[in-house]
Order: sequence, then structure tokens, then C-alpha cells
Amino acid sequence: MDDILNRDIKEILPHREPFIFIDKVLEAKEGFVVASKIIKGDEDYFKGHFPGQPYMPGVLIVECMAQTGGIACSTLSKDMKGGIFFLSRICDVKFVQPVIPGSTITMRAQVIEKYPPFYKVDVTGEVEGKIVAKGEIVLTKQEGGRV
Amino acid sequence: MGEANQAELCEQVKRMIVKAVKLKIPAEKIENTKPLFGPEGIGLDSLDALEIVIALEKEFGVRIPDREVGRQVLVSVETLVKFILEKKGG
Repeated sequence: MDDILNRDIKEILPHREPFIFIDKVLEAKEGFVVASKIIKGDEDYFKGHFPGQPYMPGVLIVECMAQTGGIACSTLSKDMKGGIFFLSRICDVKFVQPVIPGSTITMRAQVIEKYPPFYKVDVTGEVEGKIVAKGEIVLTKQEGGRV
Repeated sequence: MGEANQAELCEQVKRMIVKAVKLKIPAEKIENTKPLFGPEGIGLDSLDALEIVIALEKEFGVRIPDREVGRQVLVSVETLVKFILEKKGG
């Protein structure tokens, strides 16, 4: 599991720019991952969300948590590694605090249920130790391996 | 298991389905043999299968281990009841 911590995020995630929402994986156990993303402020979406009042869109916070969830799923077994996971369901996600430029979001994802190819994952996002978003998501593993 | 108890188990399973997937139709309107999925069914989609698997374990203590078994069991209320009885030795 430790090899995940030392690898480039592009070797772990199937996503590519501009849709990589994790900078690094901080911790990984079977079915559990902690990862982080620095929100620099020069991201394109801040131009419109909102002009002069930059707040990270909630859907992108969900994406941060979903990508972390995908990595958590990929730790479950060898054949899950490198798989593509689609966000299939967002269950009762709350956005507790706004995320502004300069924040580092720490995402935690714990796989709580599995019925392959479906995986239910408990997710949270934190900034400076305070929860900014939390909920459950369902990810579906793409069948037939990597594209 | 007697017929009365089996009928009650069917009702329990229907209530479980309605609750698990937040179905818009009442439990008593679900027929025992009506398909759960597909155009002729009660309107469940593939993601609902996960919720039913979770609810089944929570309420009845039985686990559908994989999709192969799921294809046999997640067919109708009747097949779900049969699976519960087999697993429980009823």
C-alpha cells in the first residue's frame, strides 16, 4: 500500500488535466484513503464562481472526494488497481463550509459496502481540520478494465 | 415455515425494498412475482441492487455475495424470500 504514497498522482488516477482533483495521497489502507488538494486560486472556475468572490463549487468538492473514493476502491484488491470508477450516486452530501483559494482540502474515503461493480463510499473533505463537506457516494467500476 | 409466516415475510421484504430504494409505490402494491428490474418491473435500476443487498443483510442477516448470485435472487419478491428462507434454513 505504501507504494501509492510515493507515486505521481497520474500513475494512480486515470484522470488527466484539467480534471485531476488530487495532488497527493497521504495515507492508504485496504478500502481507506486520505488525499489532499491545494486550491491555488488560479483555477479557471473561480472566474465565474463567483466574480470577485471566489468559492470552490460544491460539485468540484464532490469530485475531489469521488477521486479519493476511486483510489480507496482500487486498494481493495489487485485487479481493482488502475480501474476507472464512475460517480454513480451522491447520497445526502452536505457542504458545511465554503472552500476558498489558498485552502488545502484533505479528503478521506472509506469503502463501506461493496456489491461489484458498485461501491458505496463514506467521504469527507476537511480544511484545517474542519469538515467542509461530508456524505456518501456510490462509485461504479468500469467493466473490462482500463480504457 | 407456514404459509402465513411466508406471506408475512413477503410483506417484510416488500417494505424493505420500498424503504431501501425510496420507491414511490406502496409496499402492498408490489406483486410477489413482479420483476424488480426491467421495463415490466416495479422500476428499480441497477444501482438499486446495491441498496437491496445492503438492506437484505441489515434486516435479514443474509448476504448476496456477488452479481452471479444476485442475478438469480434479485428477480422478484418471491425469489428474495426463497433466498432468505434457504439461507436461514427455514
